[in-house]
Amino acid sequence: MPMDLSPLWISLKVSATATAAVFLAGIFAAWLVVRINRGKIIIDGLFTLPMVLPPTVLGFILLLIFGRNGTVGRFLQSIGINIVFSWVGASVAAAVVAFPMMYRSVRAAFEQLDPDLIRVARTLGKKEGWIMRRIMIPNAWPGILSGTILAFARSMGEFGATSLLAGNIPGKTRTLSQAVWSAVQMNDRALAKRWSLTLIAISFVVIYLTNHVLNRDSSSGRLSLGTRIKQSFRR
Amino acid sequence: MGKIGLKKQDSSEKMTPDHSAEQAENSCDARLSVDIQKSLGKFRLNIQFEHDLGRGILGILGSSGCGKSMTLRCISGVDRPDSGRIALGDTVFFSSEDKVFVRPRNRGVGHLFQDYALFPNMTVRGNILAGMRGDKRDHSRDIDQLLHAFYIGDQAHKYPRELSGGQKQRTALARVFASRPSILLLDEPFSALDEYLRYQLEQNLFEYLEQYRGIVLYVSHNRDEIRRFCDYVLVVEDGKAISYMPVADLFESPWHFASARLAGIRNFSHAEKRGPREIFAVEWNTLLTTADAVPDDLQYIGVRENAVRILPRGSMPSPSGSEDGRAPVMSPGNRPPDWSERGNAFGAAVLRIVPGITADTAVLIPFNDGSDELFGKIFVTLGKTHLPLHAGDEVIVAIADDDIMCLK
Repeated sequence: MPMDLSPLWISLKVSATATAAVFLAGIFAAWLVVRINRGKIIIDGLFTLPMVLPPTVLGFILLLIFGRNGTVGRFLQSIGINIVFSWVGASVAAAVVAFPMMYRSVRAAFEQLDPDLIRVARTLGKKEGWIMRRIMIPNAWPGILSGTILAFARSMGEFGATSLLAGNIPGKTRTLSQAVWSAVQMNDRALAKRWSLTLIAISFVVIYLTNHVLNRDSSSGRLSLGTRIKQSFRR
Repeated sequence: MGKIGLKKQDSSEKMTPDHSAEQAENSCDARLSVDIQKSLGKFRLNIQFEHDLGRGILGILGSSGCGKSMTLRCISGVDRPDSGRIALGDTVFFSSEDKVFVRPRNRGVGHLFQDYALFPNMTVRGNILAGMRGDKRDHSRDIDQLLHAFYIGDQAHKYPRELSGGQKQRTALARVFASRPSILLLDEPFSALDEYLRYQLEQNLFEYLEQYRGIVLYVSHNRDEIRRFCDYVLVVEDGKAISYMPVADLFESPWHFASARLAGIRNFSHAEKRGPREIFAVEWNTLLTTADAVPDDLQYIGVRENAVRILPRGSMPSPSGSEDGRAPVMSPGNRPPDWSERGNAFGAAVLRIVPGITADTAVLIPFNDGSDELFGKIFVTLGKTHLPLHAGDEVIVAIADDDIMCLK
């Protein structure tokens, strides 16, 4: 019987979706927090909370929000979107858990920028959106990239919140980490080993990529976004 | 006034490109008035001044951390004062009373930052393009002109990290001029450069500024730069503007102790008024006579290093004995022979001789001195041929009455 590869594809689909959402949300949240003065500590705490909360607690909170009895859940259901027990729900859970990784990396990168770059852009008549797109993001690119990779890795390994919100339905919401758990439950050691090795391999590649990108960056100085992407494909 | 400012603020983007030309025609309109307060930790900025185009380049002189740069940041709008008012002509940039705060992008203020703040992800050309406002179709031609005018045509496609210090500065200047500022703020434009580059670059900058028709504020802690570049000077000490005067006056009659110190005068003593033209110098422990009337609020006296003469102990000062010291401001001819009456003389001991590149400096301690670093010691510039002085020698210090500056 050929091996059922669906956990791998579901994991990749869920993580890619979650990473894409976290990429945008993390940059925006970091931009927001860097700009504000009042309430910074509280907002920063809220954004970082998913990192320190147990995933089961997060999953439970998400279930309350998106479940059949939650206001958001009821609204989404009325327009035909079902979060609970779907791969979308798995993506939501992964995104919430991975969000702090992205947010904190980008925030640190933004804060390390020379504040005079932003000041001078303002005196030259530039709007805040222009400054974010043309100055902040391109010059904080290493931090944004490493944040994205970390967020992706965290999404791949997500188990607790996903189980509570999306369940563990084979072929539908069963991700790699859940496949390992199920295989162990069913005493299928060989399958558990295979999926574990797959996860280890993916994680290692991710860490290697992070280091590669960051090391190269320190040697090549600051480059434009386009140049950076071109270079990462070339090497 | 505030309401007018509000209206102008909305249209400021439109008026910016030709603002400089407008000001040239109507120079009485080009008046910058600043009256702001701002606290940052323990530091308090409380600065008031006015300057108009007709008075030329305004230098802002002060030691590090005195609030010069913060003042510039408030004028360009990247920092917000706690209270006060900033206006350029009829345009109110900031007024706490009328709740006006024009965003920096709408002020049209050109601000050259200390480290130039070139965008590292853009080429020279991209940086200059980023400075341009208005219609994009004219940009290409304007950029070529700027690249040419600032001698960076060959660097147009280089990134800032590939540029020399001078090229960075010229790129930053080209970028700031590309934005057609109605007022130009230069924050220590030479501090990021090596000493040997400065002279050439200063000449360049001077040429650009001569063509610019708008108010220029030049911040520096370097009195020589201020003297070379500026027509007026605002002396800032500990967050306050203590004097505003033509640059020449700062070096001739500084009036304030802090101004005198920034003007490079090194010999100070606390002083008490004893008569219409008589002063007691506390640390020097001597009575001195002055050429002009002594003001009532006198607190210190200051004397330039090269205005002090050293005479051998026991010798009677005489106009012909000029080989023992150097005093360029007084020629032997117009000095009356009797020093003890018109000039001032008192005893001191040589502490050490400090070698210099063009002239040596003698450091003297007046007799009965028990004072701190700043007061008491007397520095004297020595000519090429001077008495063989050694540490411990006892000498006579002579100061002409018109070289004594009364300070408060």
